[in-house]
Amino acid sequence: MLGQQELAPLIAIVILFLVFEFRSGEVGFFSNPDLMSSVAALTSSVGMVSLGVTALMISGEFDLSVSATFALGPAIMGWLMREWGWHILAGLFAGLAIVALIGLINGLITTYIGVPSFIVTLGMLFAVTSWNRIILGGFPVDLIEEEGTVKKILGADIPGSPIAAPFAWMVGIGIILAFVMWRTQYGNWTYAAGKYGGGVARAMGVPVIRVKLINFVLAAGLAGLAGILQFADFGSSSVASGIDINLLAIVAVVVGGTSLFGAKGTVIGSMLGAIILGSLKVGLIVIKVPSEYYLGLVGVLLVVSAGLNARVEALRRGGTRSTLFG
Amino acid sequence: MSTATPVVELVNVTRRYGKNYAVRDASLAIHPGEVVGLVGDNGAGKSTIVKMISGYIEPTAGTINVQGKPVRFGSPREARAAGIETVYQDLAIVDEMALWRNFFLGQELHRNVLGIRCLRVKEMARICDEHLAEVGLTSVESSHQTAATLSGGERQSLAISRAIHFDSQLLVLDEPVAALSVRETRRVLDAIGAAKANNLGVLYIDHNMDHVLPAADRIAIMHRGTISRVVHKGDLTVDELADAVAESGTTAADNGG
Repeated sequence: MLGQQELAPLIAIVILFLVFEFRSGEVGFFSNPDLMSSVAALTSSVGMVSLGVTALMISGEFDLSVSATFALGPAIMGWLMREWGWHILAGLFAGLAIVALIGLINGLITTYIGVPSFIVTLGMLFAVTSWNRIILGGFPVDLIEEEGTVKKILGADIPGSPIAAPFAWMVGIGIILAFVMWRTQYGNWTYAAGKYGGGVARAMGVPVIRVKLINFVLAAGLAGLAGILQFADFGSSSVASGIDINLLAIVAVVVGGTSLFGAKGTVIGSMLGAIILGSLKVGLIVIKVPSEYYLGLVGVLLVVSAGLNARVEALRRGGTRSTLFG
Repeated sequence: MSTATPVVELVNVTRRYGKNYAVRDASLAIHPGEVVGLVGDNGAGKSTIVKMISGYIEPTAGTINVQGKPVRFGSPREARAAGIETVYQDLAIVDEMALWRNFFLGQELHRNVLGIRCLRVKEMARICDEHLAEVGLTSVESSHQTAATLSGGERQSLAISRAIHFDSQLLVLDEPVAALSVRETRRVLDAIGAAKANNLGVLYIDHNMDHVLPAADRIAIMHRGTISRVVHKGDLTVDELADAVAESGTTAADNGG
């Protein structure tokens, strides 16, 4: 399941970890459980969101609304539990159902009306952000059930480790999705749907619209789940939860080697991209680089990765003649 | 040959957009093991005929018969299920995907594991390797390489070998040698020969009669939505064929393309 595409982010992670470990003096980096706990927490939210975004981008579409759905999932869940006394599980599934519906609406408008997903999901980003404010009224919502089993499964630390459960959820779902993309018919169809607006796949009889709709639902659903997992971990959520996570997820996806033009990319690469973002944020603090530099470095990282991807692709094609459009 | 049931037959097929006729009262039969060329200028109605045969649009009047039975295709998927494999010049292949993935796209061999369709990769790669050799794609080392490594002619050959494998009745080729070198063109003609030898009917669309001549048994000339003439290649001398070419060229020029 690990291929050439994952190699570059994997090497980057090893280098980052070594630099941070040896430049941090006695504090350490990967030898320090508290820091690894922070890296895992930062990684798991962006990483979980990036999983669905990866599949969607491979199928040739974007979702900019995932930061709003990230906040909507816990908002619905917390509100139903607080105002209507719903059980945590009922709230959880209601939250997931609503965010999945948001994804479906994104997909239907994109595929049936033909509005580019960039525009549809930008509009949805504003609409859902507005809805979050209406539900929460500007205040954070607390997870009422304090120490129940469900909350522990969603958000507590993994027994005997400093890592909180959301990280394990991300890795588990990530591995399942990676397998689906790599070795199932659905995965094959997702890659094919991303080429020429799905033209090749449609000509071959692939139900392109259905494939894209499922990926829209997946992207929104996993964003909502990521928000709910963070809700269970932190114990509260607000309108500001998940802010910028739509853009950070795209950074993770691109750093992980997925093409903005579809048909190419891997889910594992995106998880590695998210780990790079998480360790960069914590590592910079540890080696005493002012935190103001973090976003700048993320920007450089994004453009450098995209540049490397483009050059590698050009080299690979260098030996063949491209006569298709001649 | 004409006594056998045509694999696909258009009977007085018309496709209208409002008051405009894209195709008007066109009739054409393609028999097993026969290559039929369809030539005409841009806007003559060739691509409308391709779209109707491959299930993208339905005729507004007339019928399409497959193996003598009238059919209605609601989608490309239905046309493909009926044995019609269309190879588009620029929509045949996904560069980023491995050859075996392209070969089996839409018809992947799979086994159900807990309701999930898991790919039978080894089997698909083996079958793909065999068929690439059949159409003369000997330069391919492994079906695991991506399609980006193929040349233009090799892509067309891959798509044609796919049609042969899936027991298609009719292979529809949309300008398969446009922008190809002489050597690459010969490669595609070899692949068309392999399809013919496997008893497929072939409908070969091109705006350029010179491209179609070496491959076709019959050539239908389209002009302003109608099939204005059908030329049996064996019935004409080279000169008469040249006249037919000139005639189609002139009529196209008269109408300003």
